[in-house]
Amino acid sequence: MMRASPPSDFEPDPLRDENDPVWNLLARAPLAEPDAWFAARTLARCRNEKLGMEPSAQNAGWFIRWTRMGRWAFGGGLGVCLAAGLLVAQMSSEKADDQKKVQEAFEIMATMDSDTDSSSSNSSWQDSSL
Amino acid sequence: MKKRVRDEEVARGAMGDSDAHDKVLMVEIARGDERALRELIEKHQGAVYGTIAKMLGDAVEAQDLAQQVFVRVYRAAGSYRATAQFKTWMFTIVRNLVFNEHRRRSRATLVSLSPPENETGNTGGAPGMDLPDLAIKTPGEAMLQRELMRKVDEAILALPEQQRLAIVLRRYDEFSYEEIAEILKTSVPATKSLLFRARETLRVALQDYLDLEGGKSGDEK
Repeated sequence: MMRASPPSDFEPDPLRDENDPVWNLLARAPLAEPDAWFAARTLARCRNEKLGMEPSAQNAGWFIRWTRMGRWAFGGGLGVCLAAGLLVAQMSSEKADDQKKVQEAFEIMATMDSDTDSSSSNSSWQDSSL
Repeated sequence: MKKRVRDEEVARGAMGDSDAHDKVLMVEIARGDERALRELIEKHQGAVYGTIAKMLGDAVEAQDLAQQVFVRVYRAAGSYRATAQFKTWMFTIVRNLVFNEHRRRSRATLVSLSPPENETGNTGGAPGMDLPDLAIKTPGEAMLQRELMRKVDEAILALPEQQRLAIVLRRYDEFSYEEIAEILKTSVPATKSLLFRARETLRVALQDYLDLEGGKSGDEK
């Protein structure tokens, strides 16, 4: 897009503003005015700002920040503990299951052994002569 | 011609007095004088609020931003060094806040839920704006005047932000080219160029009204 640029000899004439119809037209839409309470509200806001800047308030700010940080740390710690507890519980239950399975396996093997002892006394692998 | 030069000198002298008074007020504000702060706010609220409202076209945002300007002035009172004109310095704060707000708005445009401008029910000026009473006689004239104001405001709002601020500062706040250049952090020739382009854009956008005004003044003659 082509941009309108001022002519090379462009030197704004202080009188030109007054003669320019665009300038006069802009005057027909003057600046909006603030309401009657604007100054009072702004002063109140500045006062609040001042309170926020005072040392006691700053200390209070620090205290609040630390409390908030402590709260987050406590929450985080609790979460980690809970997660660790769950993990340990899960691991121990898995271990118990494994132990149970091993015990069952031993029991099965033991019954199998006793069966073989009683039934296969003539098995070749038990033959001491071999 | 001589009278004009003398008038300008008087105006400059008055401005100098006004600036010196602003600087005195800033010293008093730094000492915690609330009356000085009130005086400063009351003195500049019209220009600050009006400029921001023209720049944003939103009365509520303009109130908030104008308050922020004075809060910043108040906060900076302790460290304020009177190296430049007070008003120029204050309008640098206005510029920063307004341009930040533009950036924030341009980021938020995609998720805007506000109704289009022509559905807000406003009959004049930018949406929600309290326009000054111009003491117009007939309802027809009032309507025409409101429409003209709305069109002028829309044309200004359609300008790029630098041009918009330059034109508002020059036309409504009557800053010099040097002061506008300082506020916009640019050179004087660049400021003149910005103003030239802004005027040309406005001339095109408001051509119908310019013709109407020309016709009116021709009739009057």
